[in-house]
Amino acid sequence: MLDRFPSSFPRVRRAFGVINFVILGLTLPADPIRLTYWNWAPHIEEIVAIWNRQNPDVQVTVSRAAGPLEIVPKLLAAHRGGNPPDITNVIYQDLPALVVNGLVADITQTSAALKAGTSPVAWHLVNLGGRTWALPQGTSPMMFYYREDLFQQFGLEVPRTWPEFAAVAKKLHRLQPNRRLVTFPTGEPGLFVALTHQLGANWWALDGEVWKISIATPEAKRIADFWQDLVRADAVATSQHWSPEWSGAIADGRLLGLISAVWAPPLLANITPDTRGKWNVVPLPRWPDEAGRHYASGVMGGSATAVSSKTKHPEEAIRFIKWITSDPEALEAYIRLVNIWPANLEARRLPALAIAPAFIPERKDFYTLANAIDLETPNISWGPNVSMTFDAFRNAFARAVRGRTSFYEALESVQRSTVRDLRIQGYEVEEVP
Amino acid sequence: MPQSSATSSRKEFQPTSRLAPWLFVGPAVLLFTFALAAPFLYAVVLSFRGIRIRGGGLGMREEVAVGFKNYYYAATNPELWAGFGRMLHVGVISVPVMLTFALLFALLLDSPHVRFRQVSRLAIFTPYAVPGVIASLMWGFIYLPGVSPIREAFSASGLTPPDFFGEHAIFFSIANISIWGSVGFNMVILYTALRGISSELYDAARVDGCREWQIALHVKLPLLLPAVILTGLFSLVGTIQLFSEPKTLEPLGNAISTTWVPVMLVYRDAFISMNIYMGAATSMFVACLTVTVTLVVLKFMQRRERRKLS
Amino acid sequence: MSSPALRASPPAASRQPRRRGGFWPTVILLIGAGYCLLPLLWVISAATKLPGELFTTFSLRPSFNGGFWENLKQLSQFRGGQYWRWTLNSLLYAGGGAALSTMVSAAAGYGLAKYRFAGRDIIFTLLLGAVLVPGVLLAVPQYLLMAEIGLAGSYWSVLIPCLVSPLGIFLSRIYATAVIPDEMLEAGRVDGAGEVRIFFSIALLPMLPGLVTVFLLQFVGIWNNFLLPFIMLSDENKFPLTVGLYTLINQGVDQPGVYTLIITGAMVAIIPLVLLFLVLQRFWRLDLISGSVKG
Repeated sequence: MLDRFPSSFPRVRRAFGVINFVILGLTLPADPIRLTYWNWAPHIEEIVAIWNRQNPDVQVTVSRAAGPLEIVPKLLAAHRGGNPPDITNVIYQDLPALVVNGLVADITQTSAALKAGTSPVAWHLVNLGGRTWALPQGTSPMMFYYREDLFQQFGLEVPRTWPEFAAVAKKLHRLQPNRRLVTFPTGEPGLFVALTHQLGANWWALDGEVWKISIATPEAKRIADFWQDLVRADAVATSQHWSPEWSGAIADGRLLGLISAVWAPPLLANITPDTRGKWNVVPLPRWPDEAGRHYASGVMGGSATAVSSKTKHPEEAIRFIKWITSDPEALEAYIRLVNIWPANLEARRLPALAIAPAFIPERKDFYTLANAIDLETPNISWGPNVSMTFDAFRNAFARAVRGRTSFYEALESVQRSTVRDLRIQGYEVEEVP
Repeated sequence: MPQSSATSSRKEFQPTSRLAPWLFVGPAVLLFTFALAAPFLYAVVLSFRGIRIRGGGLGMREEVAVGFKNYYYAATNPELWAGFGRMLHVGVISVPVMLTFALLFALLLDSPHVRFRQVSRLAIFTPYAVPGVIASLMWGFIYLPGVSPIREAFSASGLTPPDFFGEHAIFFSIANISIWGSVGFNMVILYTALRGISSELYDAARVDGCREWQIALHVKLPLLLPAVILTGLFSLVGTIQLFSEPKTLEPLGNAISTTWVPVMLVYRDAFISMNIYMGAATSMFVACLTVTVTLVVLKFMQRRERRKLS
Repeated sequence: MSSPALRASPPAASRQPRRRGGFWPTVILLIGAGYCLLPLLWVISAATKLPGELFTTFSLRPSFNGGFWENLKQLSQFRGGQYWRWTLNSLLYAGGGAALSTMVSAAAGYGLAKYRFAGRDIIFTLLLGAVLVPGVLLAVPQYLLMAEIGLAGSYWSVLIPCLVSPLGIFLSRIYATAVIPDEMLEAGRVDGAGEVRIFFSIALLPMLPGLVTVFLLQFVGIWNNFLLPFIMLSDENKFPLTVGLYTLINQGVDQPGVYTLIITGAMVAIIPLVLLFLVLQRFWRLDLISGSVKG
């Protein structure tokens, strides 16, 4: 622009140059603030790119330093080592562990205004001891996916209650000995816990200074006995979700169903792209005779975004986590690319959610269904040693499946390990039957 | 230690500078101190500490000294001893089988009139090039029901397919991955030792009409024994530190727990239960066992040498 | 003491036209070769399958539907070429690490072999003892120490622990004792050369063949190493292939065709080392290891 000015006005040019320089100097900082963000979601880089375009003064770099299984130990090591990320994704069940280790910042003050616009279930999951420690990204209403074409082929009814579910599973195995309805994955404790939530169970609860552990409860026994019966009858498989064995069975049609959550369709599409359009989805079966505490879904996974307690730029980091959990553009991208069900209530009305998922194209009401299920989900809480408990669960149940021993006894051993672990660390623990 | 220089030149020699040897050994010593000794000592320190809570609920965590508590918990943990047992079970299979095959292949490579020698040797050596994680994954696919080509082949011919993850079969399956990965490397060590044996020693036997396998058994094998024992020792140490094979297969099914072998227990304590202190204490047990086994084998070899010389 | 490089042909003295003698050894060796190659054949065949085919066709029979090239293309484009970055990282860690480590081992081996000084035996025993400590034990303390000096997460944090190789020093010492006669060193000293000069100009050359073995052993060891880089690194652009593939296995459930990606990635990861073996066969002086126990 300055070039177009006639060279006969050198003083004017110089003046403009100075004014330009001063304006630029006042508006642009010398260097952008750089934040690191740990997340493992697919395409997360593209979502963050939107922020980077809109915020040249605060540039966020994504790092896939850890997956869901290693996030807590890696964060711990990074904090001890002095170079933690500024922002991190965290699954709800790992949040208490981060809180007790002092890894995440208390954002109660700055985030109080967001409570009204957030799903109550999700808000409850990011609050501990009366303080807010992260902002929820999404929740995971659970659903039962099944091969509609194979159900029709074998004359199976879609189960609405758990007893019906067991009957369908046994019937299928009788008609087609090499097929099963679903698998019982011992490697996914989160699924089992969520199934107990349906009956109102809550494994960890903080009452003042005391942790109340309720794992081997009568409700959980009901679930344990239910699945033990199915496993012994060989009416369900015992492969692990997403393993090669399981993926092969799903692709082949040797497994007809999947108990999972709202984010499953694109994962199924990855495994068995050829069966697109052959699947359908319903809410989880329910327990028919329960009055009172009885829900449509438990809490299985779901993640939140937290700010590190050691970040050098807390204001900018909090701005970012607010953006990525409630900004419509961010959430539109997150929904489109990562397939979450947002915790932000406004975002649940976004057009991206008004369509059917690509893998189940006839269900245009898929997200309406998800919303309804989410409204009937209990408030639950997690404890500081979830990963240790889940590890005990994996080993105990794998042993029970292999050795044909009682699932409920396995559950009792999980409770014993959990309580012992907490007591050794010095926590006050009460076991609530 | 081999003594190759003639005895006449082994005179006491004064280096021009006392510092000279340290110049050469220095970098290694510095790196050793920094990268191996310091972390090891730090781990020892950690094994006597732990995290305790002050004030319940979401109370403050602090690192305190806990004396021998971690060692007590480690020693009384049935999982640790079960893990040692399983590791032993795998070792009892993998070490002898691997040694037998390494020896067999080495002797066969050394026998005359063998065709395709280069091809076989290279093919058997190739698994050494494959990282443990990848090898376990490949074998995992070959073992898993539903995707295993071996099981498919069995089913197709009407036989019941083998269950690679069965109660007893699992030890063979894990041992197999170990054997597969190391037989080639050990074969080459033994083969080069064989080539070092002067052929005069058995040419006479050959001329006398001895069959090849007799030569192998009575001439070559006894001379190879030290090399065999040494490779066996390294193999044993490797078995004690068995980790990546069971760790990679664990999430694929129900057959392997997260504490299946001692080093997996260390990993679980350090990275899943977030208890690096317990992990350090358990590692000490593993390290002590390794050192003990090594010393026993070395003592045995020394005594054998002394008996030979007398 | 040490034999020449592995010879392919039997000694002439016993070459008799008795074909029968070689039949069973050949067959047994070929069976062994087949067993060793089975998983590799599997991985190559599985890499020819498109994601939809992987779980629905017999995996040992390769598919010819263009899956192979499609998979390679997907692997290449994965996250903007991240797989190739992992490969370059592996080459850097393994090549650079092994080269530096060989220099350290050569010097240390020479020093331990050719000099008598106080502490020599202690150092040697400690170095050997280091072999016996499980890597898992050292991983996190190493990380914490690196963090103290601000190197955690950098390339050096992976390279430095790889630089000291007890096995490499052990082999260098044996080799130095074997091939460097003291007379040569004496001659150098008489001529007035400094110790360092003697090392570089007199000692190093005969040691070279053994050092190539040390280099190759360390290269393979670092290339295959998983736990150390896994603990040290947070930036996935610095991951070596082992860690990269592992994170794919664990995080990649949301990835389309993740198993195909992993299998293709595993196949490509194996190729460089196999080529290395093929090309450098004659340099594997593993008689050093066996030579250490003879007699």
